[in-house]
Amino acid sequence: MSAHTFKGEIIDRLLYEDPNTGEKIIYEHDIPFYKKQMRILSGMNGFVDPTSMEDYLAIGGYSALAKVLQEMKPDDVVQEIIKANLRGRGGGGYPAGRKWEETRKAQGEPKYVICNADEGDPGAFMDESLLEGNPYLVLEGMIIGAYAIGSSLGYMYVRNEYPLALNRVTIAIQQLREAGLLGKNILGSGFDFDIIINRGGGAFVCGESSALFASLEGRAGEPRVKYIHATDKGLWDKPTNLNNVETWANVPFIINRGADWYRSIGTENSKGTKIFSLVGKINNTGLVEVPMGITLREIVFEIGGGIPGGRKFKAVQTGGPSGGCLPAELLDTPIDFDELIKHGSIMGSGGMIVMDDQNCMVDVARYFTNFLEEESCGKCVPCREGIRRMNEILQDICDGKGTEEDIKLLETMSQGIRDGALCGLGNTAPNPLLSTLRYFRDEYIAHVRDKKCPAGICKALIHYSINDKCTGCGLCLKKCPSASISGEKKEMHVIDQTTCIKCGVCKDSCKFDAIIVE
Amino acid sequence: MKRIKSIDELKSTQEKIQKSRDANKPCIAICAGTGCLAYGTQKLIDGFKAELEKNELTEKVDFRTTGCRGFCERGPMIVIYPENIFYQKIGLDDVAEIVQKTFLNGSKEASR
Repeated sequence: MSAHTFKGEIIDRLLYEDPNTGEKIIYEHDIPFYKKQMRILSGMNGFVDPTSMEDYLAIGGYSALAKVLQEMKPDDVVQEIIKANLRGRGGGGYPAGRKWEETRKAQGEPKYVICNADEGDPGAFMDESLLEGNPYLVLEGMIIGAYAIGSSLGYMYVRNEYPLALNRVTIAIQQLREAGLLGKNILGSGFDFDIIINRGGGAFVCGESSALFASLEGRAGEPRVKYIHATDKGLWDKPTNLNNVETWANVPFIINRGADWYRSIGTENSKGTKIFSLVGKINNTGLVEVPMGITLREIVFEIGGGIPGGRKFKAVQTGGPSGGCLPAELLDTPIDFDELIKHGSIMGSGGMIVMDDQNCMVDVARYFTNFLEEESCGKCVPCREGIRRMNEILQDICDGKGTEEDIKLLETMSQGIRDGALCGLGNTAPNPLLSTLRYFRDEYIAHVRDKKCPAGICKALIHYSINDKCTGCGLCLKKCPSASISGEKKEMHVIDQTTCIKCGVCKDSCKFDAIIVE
Repeated sequence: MKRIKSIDELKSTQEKIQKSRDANKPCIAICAGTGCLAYGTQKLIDGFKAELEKNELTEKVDFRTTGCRGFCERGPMIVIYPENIFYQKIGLDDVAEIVQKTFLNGSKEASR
């Protein structure tokens, strides 16, 4: 960078200060958060006004489309994506090229391509940021895919909770039509393709492919059995290729730089980069794009800057409600599709929720199971009834009413739901429970046998008290919302257990570490 | 944009845009992803535009609203190109000073 030509004055107080070294950092590329990332897809965001097609053209946008239309037959494009081994970024990691090939070869016209932007995992927003920050890139991927597959109509299925993404993709599609990059005879090549935007209605299950088709067709968003492949009979029972936002966004890079370049990034069977949304107990909350194969430790402690307040790392939840929790022992595991599955979690769409010693793993399992109960579409019994019962049992355990038999029952039920549910969301619904049981069984045992919550979260199992470090400053007494604390000034205070609502305000406000949770 | 009728025309359009742009021209890029907008970035966008206009810098300095830069923890944030200077957690009070110290104190050396 031409730093030496800069004649202005740096404003010190607005610079990023490394919390670990106290050093002030001037340039974006020197900040630890960015240094270890490989921002191939997301890095374009800084150079593009999301409503300016000119900006995208200025950085070489639509060169991949031009290359495809000018130099490549549809089959060549499919083969290039297969060779690159691009795997779907929406959840399952199915090879995108193979899906394209199956749809291309399938009997039946017309064929559809769909972009799944119904991102619904708690804490995940990478697809939103791509669609919102650079809709041109995602659309370029879709147009290339449509050309390769032989489709003349695509759908963009965006969840309604993303108004800004919707707005920007609507503007971009209009601009592309005006510029002749969508519509009839694209760039004079004879290839026709257009995209219709559809807003989702807010059901989590509609991110599942067959439920998404049902929703697009105007029916209730419910999945169907999977022995019929969407690539043969998808939307309106026609051959359909569905990929998620991030998958589509990878396509122009593979075409421009080649499958060999793409294959040089990542691990044996997971190529390229992945965007994760890093949230929870982490210093640097945000979106990070990293090469596949990076370790959890690098993501959490180098890019993420570690855990706030110097607390102890406990686990990372990956893959959303279908995923699982990985404990500290797995911090050095390289992150890719297969490694995550091996350890009982999944890549999913890339959610990463960091937890510290103040997170109760039973409570985490209960939270996700509760989420899934609410979002179950109700079509199949194992998911509708099974998850509900699992949630009730987990709630009992958190309330101190659980037994060791309950843990066994949960394991048996998990097997039934996994084998019997209709769609992927049901099949994977036991994952949050199973992975926390696998790595944090002692916490479950503490809840059911000792009736204790080691993390101090489950209210029925904890009580607050004050120890002799108390100086009698009176701060907790003043802040307690239920007026349960009493004591003279400069004398040790006491908490009335009968009225205490266990909100934790006293602990948060105490400067002397005098509040204990047991 | 005018309808682009052929692949050659697309390439010449790209080139024309690229030629009309100077990579060394100063530019303030402000993150306007959902996260930063929630921090109140729209006020900063209006503030920067007004400040650049007030100082007659609209010709000399580009101003670009962009998508998410990922570092949501530190928003609202800007990057000043071509140097790649990163300012974080900026407020409306900082806007005038940024414009002043970055583009108007031309004779001063960087205070580093």
